[in-house]
Amino acid sequence: MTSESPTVFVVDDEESVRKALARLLRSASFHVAAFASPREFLESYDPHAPGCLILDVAMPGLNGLELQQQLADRGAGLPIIFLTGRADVPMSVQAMKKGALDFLTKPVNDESLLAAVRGAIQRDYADRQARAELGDIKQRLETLTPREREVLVHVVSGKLNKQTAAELGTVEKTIKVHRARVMEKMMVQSVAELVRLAEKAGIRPAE
Amino acid sequence: MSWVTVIWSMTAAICLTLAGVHLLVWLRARDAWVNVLFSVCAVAAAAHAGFELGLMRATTTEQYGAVLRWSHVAGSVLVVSLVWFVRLYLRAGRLWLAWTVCGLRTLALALNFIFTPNLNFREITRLRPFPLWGETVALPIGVANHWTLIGQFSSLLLLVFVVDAALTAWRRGERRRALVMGGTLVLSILAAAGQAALLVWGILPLPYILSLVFLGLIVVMGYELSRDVLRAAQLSRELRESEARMSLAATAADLGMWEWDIVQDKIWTTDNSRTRLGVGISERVDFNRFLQSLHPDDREDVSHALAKSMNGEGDYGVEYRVVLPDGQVRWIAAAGRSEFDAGHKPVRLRGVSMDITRRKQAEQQVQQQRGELAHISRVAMLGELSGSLAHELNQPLTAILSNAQAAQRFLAREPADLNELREILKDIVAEDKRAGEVIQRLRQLYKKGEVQRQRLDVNEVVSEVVKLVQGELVNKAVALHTELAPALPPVSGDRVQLQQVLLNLIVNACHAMADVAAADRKLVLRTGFSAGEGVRVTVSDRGCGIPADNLERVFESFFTTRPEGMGFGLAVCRTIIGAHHGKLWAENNADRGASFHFTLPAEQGNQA
Repeated sequence: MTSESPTVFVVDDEESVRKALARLLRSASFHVAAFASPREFLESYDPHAPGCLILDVAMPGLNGLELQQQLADRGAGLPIIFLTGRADVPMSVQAMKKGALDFLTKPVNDESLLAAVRGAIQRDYADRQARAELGDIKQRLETLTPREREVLVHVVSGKLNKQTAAELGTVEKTIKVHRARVMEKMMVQSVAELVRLAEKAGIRPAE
Repeated sequence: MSWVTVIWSMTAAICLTLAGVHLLVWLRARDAWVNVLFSVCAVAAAAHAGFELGLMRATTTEQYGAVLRWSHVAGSVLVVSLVWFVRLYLRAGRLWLAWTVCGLRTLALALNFIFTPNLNFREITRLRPFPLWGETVALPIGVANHWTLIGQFSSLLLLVFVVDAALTAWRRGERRRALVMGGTLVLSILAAAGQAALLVWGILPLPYILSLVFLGLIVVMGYELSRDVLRAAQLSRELRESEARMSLAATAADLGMWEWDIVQDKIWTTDNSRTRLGVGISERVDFNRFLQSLHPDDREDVSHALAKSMNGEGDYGVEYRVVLPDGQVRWIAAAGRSEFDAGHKPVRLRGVSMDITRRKQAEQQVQQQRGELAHISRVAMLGELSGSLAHELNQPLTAILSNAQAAQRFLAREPADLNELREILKDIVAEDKRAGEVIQRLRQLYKKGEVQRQRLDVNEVVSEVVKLVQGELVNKAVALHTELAPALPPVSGDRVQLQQVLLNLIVNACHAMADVAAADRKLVLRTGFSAGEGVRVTVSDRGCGIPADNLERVFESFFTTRPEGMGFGLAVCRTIIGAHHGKLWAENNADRGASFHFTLPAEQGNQA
């Protein structure tokens, strides 16, 4: 968990439902922020705040699916649990395709809702961890010189120092020095570890 | 055998007979004064005949003078009664002339008794035998009295009076009467007065035979009067026939006739009317008895309608129910008119009544069928709306479940937050009530209830419907704007049926906007009031509008543009609004979409 405790955002236009859901979540010790409309939520939403979003599908004005789209456009990877008055298969498929975590039917049982919320928060935590790690790796990659980057690609591709030297038009000794510098800058002890980091950063092995 | 005796006696007898006949007529009809006057004339003529016979049989001049004197009484009575007979019979004649003739004749009569032997002669010197029909009668020879001119002048005035009266009657169009009565009178007066004058002045020595002239006059007068009697008889026969025809028509049309003598509080009715009211054929019916036979709920209406007619506020017309002794209820329509005395006090109410039970039953049947169709259409529409209606129940159920489960969790904590629990329970109760109301409203809409008219606030009906269609609006992504006019006067209507009309219009409006971009799907519900048309409700959409040709056709049965529509929603709506004495129509908006308007007459009385 990060230092900030996660918040469950509830967006439902029906006040009584919104109030009851918030209560249920608070009874399970979640931190809750409730909004009457997607617009209201977007206005105050901080993408850095961890947590998840419980969203009513059918709302006047901007509906749930449209909000999901807008969040995706902003690059906010907040996990969304959809609530719907009726099981509408095409709609749930569409929502799931766009990355909805769960699609629950009203009235919703506490166990299912809380389980979904817990799952969503975990997912958010994992996503944020992954994003943080990726950022870290990318930062380290920044410190590499263009030559060192080239060497990295060759190492990741599993090529021998000799092969690399030949392809880059230099001697094996130089490659060794570069390789040691890359290992140092990327803060790894083994080639295996380096390959994993490169993979996470999306560096594809050269053909 | 004396012809003179026979003829003069018969003359008198004929006159007396006619007098008797017409006196009898007068005894039966006391306002027939013309018949009385005729009788007086006839009796006078008969008396005159008697006097004339006496004159002809006189043996001394004294005797002759005395009889002639008394015969003036009969002559005067004849003249005076003739004057008034003419006035009454021809309804004409100058009054001053009439009085002058009577005055002069009275003066002549008075002078007749002052002079000796009489008005005609200063002295009768001798009686000359005069041969008449094979026997000898007396003819007076003497000196004429100059005062006799007064009598003759009065005869002349009588002539003028008669001619004038006859001319007036002629001009008025009563030509036959004027000619026959006027002509006969003129001829008779000329003949009688002429003969008397010629005899007195010794120009034409002929005994008095005035009675024969009078007989002719009396016979003509009697004949004319009999014609009137005959005409009256014919009229009464025609009246009877017309009555028979009317009663036949009334029986055929099953019309009952009645008459209420308000002063004596007595009601006369035809027998069928009595049967209809459930009263005995010989039972006395007064107003209270009549009221008693009515359905208790209708008594006030009937009394009110009667009172209005009796106050001179137009004719009486009302429909009411009668409860027969066997408990059967019949519908009666009655109409009538009050009659007033000179002081404008109602004295009589006359009218007809009709059994309209069958018509009422047919009306009720139509109404029932209309109600059934409305119900079918309503249920079909609710079926279409079921998804949205489920939403209306789902929301409170969701809130209740989550609240209750939150409460369970709060209770598991130590210590339990009682304030929080109290709030939760309060919300649960409120939400449960909300769900109950939704179900109640739905139940009413599903119910096949009787039409119940009550005072309604249209804004309230609109708000209730809005609560039911919230889900539909959200599902169809339609934004709703309500513009409700404050302080609308109440209307009289059936809540469920008016909700049905609104639901129908709203659902149609949502369908009309299905192909419009979600941001443009706007539905406007507006209410308003104007003194001319009453309360108006408008449902406006922003759809594609209605082709001008279809603006009326949409209200026809089986007209639909939707595959799932049955096509009689709007037809039923129009029937419902029509039954509420309102109007429902459609028009296209100036910019885009269509508007449906309906009006309902405002309830009389206080404002809502």
